[in-house]
Amino acid sequence: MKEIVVTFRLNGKETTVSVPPALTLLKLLRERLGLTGAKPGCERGECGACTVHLDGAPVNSCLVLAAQVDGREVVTVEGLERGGELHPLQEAFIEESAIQCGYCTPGMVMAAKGLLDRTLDPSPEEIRRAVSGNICRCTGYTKIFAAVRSAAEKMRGGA
Amino acid sequence: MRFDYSRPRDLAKAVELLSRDPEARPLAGGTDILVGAQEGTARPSRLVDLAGIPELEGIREEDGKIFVGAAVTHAGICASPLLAAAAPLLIEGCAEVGSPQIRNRGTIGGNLVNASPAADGIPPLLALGAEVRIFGPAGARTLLLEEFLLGVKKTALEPGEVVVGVAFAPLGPDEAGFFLKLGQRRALAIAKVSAAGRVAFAGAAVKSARIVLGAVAVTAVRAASAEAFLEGKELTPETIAEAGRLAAGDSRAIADIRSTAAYRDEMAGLLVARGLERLAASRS
Amino acid sequence: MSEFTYIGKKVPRIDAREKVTGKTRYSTDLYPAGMLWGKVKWSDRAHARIVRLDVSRARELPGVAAVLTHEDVPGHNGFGIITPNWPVLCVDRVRYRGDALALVAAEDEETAERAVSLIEVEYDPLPVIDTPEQALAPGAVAIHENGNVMHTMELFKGDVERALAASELVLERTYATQFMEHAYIETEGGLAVHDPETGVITIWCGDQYAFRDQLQVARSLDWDPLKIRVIGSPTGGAFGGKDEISVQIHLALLAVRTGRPVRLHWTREESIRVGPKRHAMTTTFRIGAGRDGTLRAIDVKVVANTGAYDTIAAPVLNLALESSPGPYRYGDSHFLGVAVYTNNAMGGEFRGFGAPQVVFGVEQELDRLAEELGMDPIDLRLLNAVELGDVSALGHELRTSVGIKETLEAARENDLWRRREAIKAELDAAFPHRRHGVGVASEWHAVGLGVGIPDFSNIVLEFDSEGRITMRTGAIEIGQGNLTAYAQMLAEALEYPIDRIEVIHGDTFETPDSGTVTASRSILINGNAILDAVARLKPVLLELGAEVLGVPAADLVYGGGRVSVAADPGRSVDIPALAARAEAAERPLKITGAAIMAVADKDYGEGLPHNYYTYITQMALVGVDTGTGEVSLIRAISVPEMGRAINVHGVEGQCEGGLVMGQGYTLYEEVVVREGRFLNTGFTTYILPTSLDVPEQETIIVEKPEKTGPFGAKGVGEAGTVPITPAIANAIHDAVGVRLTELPITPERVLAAMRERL
Repeated sequence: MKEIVVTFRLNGKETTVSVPPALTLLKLLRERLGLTGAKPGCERGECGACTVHLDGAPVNSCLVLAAQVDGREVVTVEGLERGGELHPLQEAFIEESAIQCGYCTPGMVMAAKGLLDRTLDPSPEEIRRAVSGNICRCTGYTKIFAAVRSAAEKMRGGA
Repeated sequence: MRFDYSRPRDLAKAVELLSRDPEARPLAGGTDILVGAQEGTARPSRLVDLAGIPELEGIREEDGKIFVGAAVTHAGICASPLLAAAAPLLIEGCAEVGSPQIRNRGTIGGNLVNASPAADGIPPLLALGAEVRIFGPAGARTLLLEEFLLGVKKTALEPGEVVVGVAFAPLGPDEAGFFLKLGQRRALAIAKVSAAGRVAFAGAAVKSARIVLGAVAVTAVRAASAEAFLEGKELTPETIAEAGRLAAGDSRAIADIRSTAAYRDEMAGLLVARGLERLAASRS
Repeated sequence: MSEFTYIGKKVPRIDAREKVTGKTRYSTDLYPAGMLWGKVKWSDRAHARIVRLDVSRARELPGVAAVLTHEDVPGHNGFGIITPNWPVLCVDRVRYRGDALALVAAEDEETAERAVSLIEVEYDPLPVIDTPEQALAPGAVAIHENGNVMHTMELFKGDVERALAASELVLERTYATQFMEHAYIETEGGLAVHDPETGVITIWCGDQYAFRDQLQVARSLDWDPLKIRVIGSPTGGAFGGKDEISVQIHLALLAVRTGRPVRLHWTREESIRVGPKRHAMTTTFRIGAGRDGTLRAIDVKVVANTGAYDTIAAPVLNLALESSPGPYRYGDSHFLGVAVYTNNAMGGEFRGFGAPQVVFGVEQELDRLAEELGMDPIDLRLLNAVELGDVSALGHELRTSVGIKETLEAARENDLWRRREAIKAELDAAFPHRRHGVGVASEWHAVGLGVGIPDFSNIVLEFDSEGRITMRTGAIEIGQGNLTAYAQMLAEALEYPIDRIEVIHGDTFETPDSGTVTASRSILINGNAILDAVARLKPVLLELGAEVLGVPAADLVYGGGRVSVAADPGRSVDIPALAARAEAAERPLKITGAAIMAVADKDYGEGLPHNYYTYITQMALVGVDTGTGEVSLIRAISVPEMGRAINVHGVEGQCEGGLVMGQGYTLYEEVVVREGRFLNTGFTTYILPTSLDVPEQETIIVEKPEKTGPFGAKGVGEAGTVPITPAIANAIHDAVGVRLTELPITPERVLAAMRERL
């Protein structure tokens, strides 16, 4: 199997790797690049724990080949913090206690960020829909919805 | 998983790679084939990435038809103002696929080629009367979607051929459509049953109807007796109920871990009735 | 609540920032250089003798570092929390499709998988036993030497047959529940390393009790337990499924054999197949009552499908019996339970621990009784609800706080209950295809391990001269936020800033044994150990203060982080200075606190009964689609009474999360096993509620401080997952007039029930 050279933007940095063709983006991030925020929950695209942004859209990194990100942009949860400052969504998750075991959290935050990147005034239904591909077994989602609402409000410039 | 990978960025080259190796498979969003490869039910020797091939992209009106490129994602379909006006039932179907993450990657071409009996993109396209545009070693050809779908995960694609896109006539001013799905839950659900319809009206009466049932046979099927019954009739509670009953009879569901055959058949009829109810309500 | 600085406040979780930035390293996030990939060869049969096991081709595959079989298990070839009869690696027989036959370690994952596929096994099939009925039938093959009955328990109070005969009303019904999967998002897995110089095996594995893992690994490896370091925290979800051994022994064997770090991480399919499940149970109730609504007698029979091995199934059955009468007074009672071996899924520990199965039934029976008598369902429960000092249905005295009435009263006052007819009518009008219903249910949930089972905690506090306190606890952070609660309790007891407290947890080398994280016990037992530590600390601080201030200790007081002269408060010294003093004198300030769980006044054996209970009432608003049978859970309310809420968000989180877990159990989830074959292999076919399926929730905390609990707290980890199930069932009955006696309540079943009724 011939390895594939992949050059892509990862959390704002130009990155080049050489990978086996069948290596998924999830495994590339976790096993070779030390970014273990994205998690393997099912490896079938059914739980969202592996969610990252590919060209600005939330995707299941377990179903993206590393080879497919050549020339594209990937953002992981590790890329949200800027100079020690958390993204408003991350702060809201902490304040609203939307984190329990934390294993679904990186994927959940990235999915929610996909929504807030498009609108800062999401309806309750839109919030639910945005994270409908992310399974949380701990929280029952109530505080996750509250965190997304609160982050949106803050980012809108509200109270 | 173990396979080679190519990204030709060129339709002819993609076709050449696929025809040269019968075990090679096309790769678009990957949300079906990579799941199969993980599970070992798909063992491609090579994945030919169709990204960046211009012929497969775009949603546009041409020659009186709406063309949707095979590489358009479900999210792309849902966001299209053209489709919102011309074929909202297709958006309703694609909006039900998986989850936001899956919709950001999965393509309408992939949905067709995977040919799952429970696919959400297929019943609306069948109701729309869509044709499938194909390109292969022998050049371009077009099949009606019902000719394209042959069985569970089986299509009429010859070795080396790829789906370039689908095309259908947009809904006219006297037409309306619907798509309903019954799943085990409201997201990340494989349909137990689905129903789609494209209905043309002449005044208050139905001129013609294409009604499609999903997940109740090896491919999506037409509810032919319901369609025949509705011709010339107005949509009233009685005609709608009868159409539903007939559609239930057209259903050929099987039992599996998700549901029973009897329930599915009955629900096929119910979804058709509810879809028609919706049409009737929006026209009044 | 306002009298406290930290208790009852919304204190942010101390591990939240690390988790939300993706920095937390779970045991399955470790990929050290030189690591080998481990894989397990699982049984391909549900019940068979192993005629031949040939690993030679696997061993010869390039890239394979080791292939191990039962011959490579030096110590006891078995594990199990109570009885260790679950094989580490099978010798001559497999009893379910999750039995392990061999282990592989290889250079990469793909090679490990290929090696597993090269392992040849020849089986001599035995009859597969799917159900307890088959197992108990005469002539059925014996799954274990002692037959197919794993455990029985019988309890009684008075003479139930006489009391039933004398009752004006007797209700009888049987309920059946399914196997349930924990479905934590992090599947079982971890890493192990053996250091040949020190002889220490280090195992990182998300679990619930690192110290017991240490013992189980030691027993199977025939290894000094003190040379086994288990780091069990943090865990990406446990819910009872990671208290038992999963990968720990396999990892240790491979690490010792290969001399390299070994990683083992179960796939989702393996997790569903192999690990313990919530038992499937069938329960028959006979309840006798008077026409005035008073409960007189209850007879309960439980048959549990326990799968192939023992694990912790006996206490699960016992708690099912204890939970089955609910928090109500009965004159006479009889409880009989039997757990039966099958070749089905492995019944084991799961949040709720036997209660969900029986409460599903008994709380519907109470609703049936209320309906029969024309009584309001909450009034009926209030009439019979227990109070402090009552003798329970099992015959033990309720000596700790009892708040069930308050939860029922709060439920009755809630807008959803008070205006339920109007709310339902509005929704019926807005959604013509649906009928709406409201249902309520309650339970009592045992806290602690019960009489006769060691139930203790140790906590260590260390102080440095900069004023930082390190609290060491063996407790594992499985997601419930207990570490934050401990910090709150310590900060409150010591009157000290919480941000100066660091909690080190779940490491057998770095922390003391605080017992397991299960049975809703962690707040209660660890909180008491913390308070004990503080009580022991204060005299030491006063002694140190005496040295520093030159005043007898008897003239000093402690308050607000300082030791001061009682008669002259201006003269004082703070904790950092006292810690510095101790350090300088080469006696660094370090205190151990301990606690033992108080037990009930009776002992029925094997953990029965318990001494503390969470009391809870839950309410459900459902919409039933009369065409499809689909049930939507629209709104849900939890009213828990847990003594005292240490962290309000923490209590809400346990209820909100538990409730949705219960919703899944009620409406969607089922592990389907036919002739020992698992039909669901992942989340496509094991259906969990998504964000589009879950209700709007409200949690109303009721406090009834328990004097023997830390700040009055008891526990709340499990209760929120239990009565929502019958609350939904009661709501369905309210909506469309049918009672579902089987779980899950699928649309197909609802529709069939509605048809039958016509």
